[in-house]
Amino acid sequence: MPIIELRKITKVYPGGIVANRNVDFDVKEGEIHALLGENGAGKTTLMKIMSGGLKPTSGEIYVNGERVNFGSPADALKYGIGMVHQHFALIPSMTVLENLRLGLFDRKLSKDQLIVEVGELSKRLGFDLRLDVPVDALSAGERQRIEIIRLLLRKVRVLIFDEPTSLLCGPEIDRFFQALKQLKSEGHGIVFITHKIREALEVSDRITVMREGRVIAKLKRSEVMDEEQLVELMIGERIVPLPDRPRTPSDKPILIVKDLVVSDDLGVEKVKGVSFDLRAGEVLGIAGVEGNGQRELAEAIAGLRSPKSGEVVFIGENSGFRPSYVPADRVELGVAMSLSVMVNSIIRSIDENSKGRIKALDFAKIGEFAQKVVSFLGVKAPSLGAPVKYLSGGNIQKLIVGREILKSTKVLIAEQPTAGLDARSAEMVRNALSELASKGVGIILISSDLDEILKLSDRIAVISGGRIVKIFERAEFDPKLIGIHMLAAGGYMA
Amino acid sequence: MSIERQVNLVRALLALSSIGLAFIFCTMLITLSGKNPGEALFWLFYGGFSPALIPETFVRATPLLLVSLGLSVAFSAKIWNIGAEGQLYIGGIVAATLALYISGVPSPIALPVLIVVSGIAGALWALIPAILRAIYGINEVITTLIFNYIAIYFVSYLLNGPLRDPVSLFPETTTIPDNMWLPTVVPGTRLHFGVVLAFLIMTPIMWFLLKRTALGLKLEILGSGEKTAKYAGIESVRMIIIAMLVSGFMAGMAGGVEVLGIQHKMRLEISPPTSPYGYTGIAVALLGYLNPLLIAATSFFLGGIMNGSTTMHRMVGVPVGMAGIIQALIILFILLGYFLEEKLIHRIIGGLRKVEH
Ligand SMILES: Nc1ncnc2c1ncn2[C@@H]1O[C@H](COP(=O)(O)OP(=O)(O)OP(=O)(O)O)[C@@H](O)[C@H]1O
Ligand SMILES: [Mg+2]
Repeated sequence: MPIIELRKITKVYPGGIVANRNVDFDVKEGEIHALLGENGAGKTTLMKIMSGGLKPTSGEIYVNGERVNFGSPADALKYGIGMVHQHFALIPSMTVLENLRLGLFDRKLSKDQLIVEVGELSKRLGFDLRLDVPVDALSAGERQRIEIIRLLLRKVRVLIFDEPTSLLCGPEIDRFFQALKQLKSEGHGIVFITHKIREALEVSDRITVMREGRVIAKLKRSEVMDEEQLVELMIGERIVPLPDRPRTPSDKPILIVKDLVVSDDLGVEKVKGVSFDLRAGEVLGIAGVEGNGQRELAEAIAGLRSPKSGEVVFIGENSGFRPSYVPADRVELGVAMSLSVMVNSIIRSIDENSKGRIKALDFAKIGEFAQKVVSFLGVKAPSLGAPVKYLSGGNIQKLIVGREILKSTKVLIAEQPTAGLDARSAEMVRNALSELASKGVGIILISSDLDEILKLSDRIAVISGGRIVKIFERAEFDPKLIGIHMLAAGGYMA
Repeated sequence: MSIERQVNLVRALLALSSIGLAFIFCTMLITLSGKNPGEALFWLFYGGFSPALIPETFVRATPLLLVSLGLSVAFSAKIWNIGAEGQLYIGGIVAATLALYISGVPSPIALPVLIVVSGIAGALWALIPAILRAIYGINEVITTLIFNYIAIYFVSYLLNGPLRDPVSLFPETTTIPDNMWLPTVVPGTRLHFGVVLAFLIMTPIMWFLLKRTALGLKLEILGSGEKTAKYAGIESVRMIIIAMLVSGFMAGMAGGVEVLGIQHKMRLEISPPTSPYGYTGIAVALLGYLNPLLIAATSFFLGGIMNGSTTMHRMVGVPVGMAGIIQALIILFILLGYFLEEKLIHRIIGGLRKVEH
């Protein structure tokens, strides 16, 4: 008997968007269950229902064969079901230990008992948590480990992960899967949503594929032949990668970064003297373990964070110039969640989209551009007037990427541009970036996906511990060597 | 039906049912106080909305509308200016004092100047909290509230001391000469030019500002998150100061218009004690979803309730305090509906739908 079983779940959002239609889903003891599907297929919705965060419009939930109703995530936790969301629910200014204590809810544990128990759990899973640092200072991988411990402290039996690997780099992904296997061997049931089919094939025992709110395939791992078969199931077609673009970057720099030192919000120096230049028509990949200064570097170049010292110079532009920027933090930075798709598509060019001395918004122009953004990568939205919070994670990402690419610019900083995108959309984004580069735009590509960086970049700068430790020319690209440099002196791999 | 339509429909239904609930509560209270609720409610509505008294409702609604229009600008940016009451007092005292001082100037010049200067006075009163918030991040709720007390006690001092009309029994200024009064627009009523200014000039202007200009959009983006605003290239310091100044200006103008149009002097009770314009305006702005057009309608409705409860008191003997409680209850219930809205809307719309498979 499965630990938890969903039967005939239907979810209708306000406005009549049907996110799940008659979905059956279950999780068994000691299994890893991968949930796949294109952007907007209804995966997050289904998992939120299973973990008490949303109520189904109709349908039934059974735990150990007993019919239950979850009023809240806390209810689901009582039945042993817990979820790690895409955006971690930790309080950044508090320490790891404080966050863990908060997560106990009604479970009473003294501080010493807690430390002992956390120690035992960490040992079993191979984690080495730093308990007294503020969460702010941690990498995505470390935060994820805290979330896992937090659920285990509540004695959950089913752990649900929403795109757990989308912001992690190779070695961190391996560690995550190690932990999953350990949990599985202890009898936990695990669900993880992913867009990376290779991962699903690598660790899962079962795979469920969703499309347009329905489950369209339930497969045992042994029934799956290859990646292509799954992709075809998911999106109904094969993805044919385009041939590589002609590589003709000019040697004319359009951006010069010199001795840049940048601190994070807590005043900790994250970028410790970085210098490089970016040429027109070039993709400069920045590879590194998340949390080694990439975000602060990107924000400083984008003009969102004032550097402590050093220079960022855009050649031939005046000092107010702002490059296009796809931030990794799409919800906090990239969009205004309560405002419409239309407004969000011009959120960084409001003045250009208004006219006259009183700056009246030019709605004809805005509507036209919004339409362009939406059709460019196929953003699925109820309407242009609908608030962005009605969109699925991947569709918000498509909106941001589309907006930043379509806005004419000479420099684009793309931080995790394909995180959370389904295979087809990710490929579209990569092609769009390639095309942009061949038109002479200089692109800084920051990604935890080394394959993506290797494929698109003309040069790769490896960042570690806030310093650029080496810059590889395309002819010298070597994943192994790059990986070694990522962990070089000063770079941390927690 | 589009999402927007459905949401609006549910909102309207919610607003109506909270008003309904409020009246049920009022009926209970009136019964408890030993009066006939049917009769009391009749006079409440008669006093507020019978054709002959509608001009008075407009007059009552005017300062409320000017205040809440201004607040809608600040609240769009999630700048919680609670200081409209003080800004209104400052606008009022400045208008009265200046009007006495420049009474020789011809009205067509003097009146616009007086209105604008009272607005500027209100804006200046908001300036210090604005700077403290924008530059030093000091919570504006606390500072603007403190500034209310300072303003009201300061005005009270002036009215009891240097600016007091020597022959009056009350703490108030001398009556301003009638060439400094705002002209009446409909003979036989008290509908003065300020009513036109609030309903026909400032309402559309504020609607345009908030819904149709880059500035309005930037304020809204700032309101949805400072980080996103920064990413969007919005200078939040400038926006916060603009938001505070505009709302201070409108509140100051409300005080000026009330003095020049109705009171013809500055008095300590320029704002009705049972529902002070500066505080009631906060509720009006929220009830009107920060949309100037809805705010105009809400101001009119609450203006009617304010006048009607006085009538109810006079005709049926429902105590003044009770009338105040009833006003407060109506606002409270509507606000309750407003805050429950997000939850209820999802339930209702989600529940109404049948799924096609
Ligand atoms: N709060 C909401 N209100 C209205 N509609 C929503 C809401 N959240 C999601 N939706 C809609 O429900 C559908 C499914 O969304 P969901 O987030 O479950 O997709 P997903 O499979 O997780 O996609 P992604 O891979 O992009 O994260 C989408 O069409 C989306 O627009
Ligand atoms: Mg999702």
